[in-house]
Amino acid sequence: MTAPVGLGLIRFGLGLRPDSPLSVGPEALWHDLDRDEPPARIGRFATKLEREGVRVSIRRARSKAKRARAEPEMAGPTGMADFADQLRRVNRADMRDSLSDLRGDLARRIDAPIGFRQRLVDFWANHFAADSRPGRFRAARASYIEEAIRPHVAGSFATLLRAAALHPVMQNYLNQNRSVGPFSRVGRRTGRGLNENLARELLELHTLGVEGGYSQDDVTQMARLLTGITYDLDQGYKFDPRIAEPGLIEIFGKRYGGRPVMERHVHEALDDLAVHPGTAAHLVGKLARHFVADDPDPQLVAHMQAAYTSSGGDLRNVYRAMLEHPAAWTPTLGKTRAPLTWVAASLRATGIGAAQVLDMDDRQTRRDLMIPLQAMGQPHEAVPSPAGYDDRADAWITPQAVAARIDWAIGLADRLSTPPDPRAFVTAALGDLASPMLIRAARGAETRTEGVAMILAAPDFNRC
Amino acid sequence: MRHDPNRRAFLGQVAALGCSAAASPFLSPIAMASAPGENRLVVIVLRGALDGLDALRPIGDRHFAALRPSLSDGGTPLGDGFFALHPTLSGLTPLWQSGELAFVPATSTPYRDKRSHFDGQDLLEAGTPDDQPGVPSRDGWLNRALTLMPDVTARTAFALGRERMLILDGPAPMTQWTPGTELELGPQAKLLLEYLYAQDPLFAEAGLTALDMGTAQGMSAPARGPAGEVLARYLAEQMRGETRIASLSLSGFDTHQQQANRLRPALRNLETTLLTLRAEMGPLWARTTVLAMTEFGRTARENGTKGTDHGTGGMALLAGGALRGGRIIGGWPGLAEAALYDGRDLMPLSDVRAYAAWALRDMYGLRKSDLMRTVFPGLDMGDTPGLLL
Repeated sequence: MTAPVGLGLIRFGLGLRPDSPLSVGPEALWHDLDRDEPPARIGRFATKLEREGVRVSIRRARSKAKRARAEPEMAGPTGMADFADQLRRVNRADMRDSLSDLRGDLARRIDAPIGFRQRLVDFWANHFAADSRPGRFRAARASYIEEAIRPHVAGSFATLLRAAALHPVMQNYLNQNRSVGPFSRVGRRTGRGLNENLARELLELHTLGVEGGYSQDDVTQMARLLTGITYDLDQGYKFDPRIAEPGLIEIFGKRYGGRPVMERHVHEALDDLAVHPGTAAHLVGKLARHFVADDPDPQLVAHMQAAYTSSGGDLRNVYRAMLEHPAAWTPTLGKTRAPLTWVAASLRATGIGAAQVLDMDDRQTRRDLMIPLQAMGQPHEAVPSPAGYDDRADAWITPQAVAARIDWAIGLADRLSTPPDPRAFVTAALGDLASPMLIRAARGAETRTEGVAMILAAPDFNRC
Repeated sequence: MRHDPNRRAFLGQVAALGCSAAASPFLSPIAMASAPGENRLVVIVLRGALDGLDALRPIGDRHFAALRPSLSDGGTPLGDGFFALHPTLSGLTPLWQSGELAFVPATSTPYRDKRSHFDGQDLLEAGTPDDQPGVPSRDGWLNRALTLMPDVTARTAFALGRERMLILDGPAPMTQWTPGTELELGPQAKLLLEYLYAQDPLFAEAGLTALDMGTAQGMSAPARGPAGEVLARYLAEQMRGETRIASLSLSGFDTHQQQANRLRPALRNLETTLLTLRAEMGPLWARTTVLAMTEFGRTARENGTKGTDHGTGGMALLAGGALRGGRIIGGWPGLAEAALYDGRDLMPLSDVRAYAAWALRDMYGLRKSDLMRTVFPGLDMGDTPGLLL
């Protein structure tokens, strides 16, 4: 099979660099999964947890002071401003980390020879969409992706599922930490009850999919089983038997749980869900739609599904099945690059080095990366909903987002000290995949700078 | 390259795309009540929980002054003098007098008891009942209303600002734009990009709109001045054109301390927005209705730092040339201890979604059954408040 130059890097990777090999086929992509990556420059979740603890104690102290002032005889002159100051300091530290995370993330995208693994991380980070709402663990999404998703993208789905779906960031986002078994020790004493959010999304989004044939009763049973999974600000994730619902819980005809309830019962159910045929169909369809086409070849999907089933949900086998199938190598680029992928691809194509990104200060990072990414529709550290970003090709392509891409492309091209000749750049950036129209347009640009900006903003370079 | 792109050809393509986008699965022939027509609706989301008791002061309520020691001085009495407008909003009095302004002083979304900005705004924009607390919503009520209208193109509905406006997010096409987004493109580069986008169905509509709006002369020129004025002027320009439904948000209403000072800029911004919109719409103001709503109200009692905390019942504001205004809508629960919600907040007497629903019905002919099922699930619209003339 002779794929056009650039196809492997554009469809499955992060785009061409001046030093990219001409051909990146299934084997090279496959080996990218085993490449040793340099240590991450991403903040640790433990730090976010600690800061959250600090914030909570500041707020507590503030309420106490407020109550004290409500009693006239205790009213003191101490201002609430002190507490506001302390909070601002913690929040600012999180903001600084967030900017540094963004630089570290982009630098790694520039450094990656191929970037297939990174694209998989992006896919799964969107599949397990979670952010800091409603107001816990500020700026923790990068560390969540780094610690709960990145290490597991090329292993068994069951491992990834456990790591991501039960992570404190996900628990907080979907209120699992508020769920209490009604017949647990705490439930009986306080009358608190189930919160079904995580259970529902676990079935609807993370595993079986909305077509997966589960009922409201399955959701409720899953929610009962998940009780006990929680976190606290001292140790992070934990299993707390005092809030876990006792007794046998039946999900899809199989019984889990018992007395006492244990964490491994939850793990057993997740492991079974991971190899459920509905999960296999949901995940491989989503993967094929993400990488290949909005409406992928059914044979490609079937091939991937067979690999999922025969390997018991080993993702590496699924990726191999995708990469080895001819339908994954159709030369038409049917998808669009997400903003972060497009920004990384632009930096790679123009030969900006990772060091240049790491050298940016916070103000530049905010102005040149964080705000533009938000304008393009992919704010750093946030997801639109538990379902993640819509993965259809046209979802990123709105007027405001396209304008933001054009604007950013102009800014990047302007800053190149020696902008390349657009006629050569069109090939350097797109290999064989530039359309004849773009090649003609590249010849017609007025200046090198405008030519480079136009190529980056053109539909061809925005596709993958 | 000497290929001059044929502008008319693109526009044909764009129009075709607009139509196909409108033919969403949500559009059944039965649901097509009437065309968007000439009426204009602007929904302003007041973020941060506006203190309705301060913006529209119930000075005739005998408990008011005691609850608000530092927040009850002054104001412009309206009508029978039971309510007075916050001094900063006095510029709106002429609208009240000409019947172009009305208030719903005690209303709320179905959101109760948690009092979180994030969840509250989410619910306000989603338009859903409070039955799945904390579940981030996927679409907004204005967008669902669009799915019930025929001939909707991307320019029919307009969200101002960079941030996601959940209220207009969803399957129906819409445009989101921030005034001041300017593209520094030379004429040749613009032509080339137009040519490239127009060739690609996936990029044609968005790309050409981006180039059009980002390089339009004068369009983004007045990006200076008070935020409300810039937004309103820009919005009016859209609404004099194809846009019929628009949403924007104003913030700065979360006044936990020193409210007398801190609420002023936010109210001034609201006032400027309304007055600018009215001036800029010209004769079309007669076909325009503005609905300003907030996620929840604030505590009836002033707190220890001369501010107010998150509450329940709050105020909604209506303005427009077609409004049957100059009146208070929906009654007054009173501020006696026993009349307060939870002993602390103004008691909401209505579901604020009902006013939005009646506005949509009166302006676009949407059917009650669709409004109560699709746009605002679980809403009982009740009797018509007769919003429009």
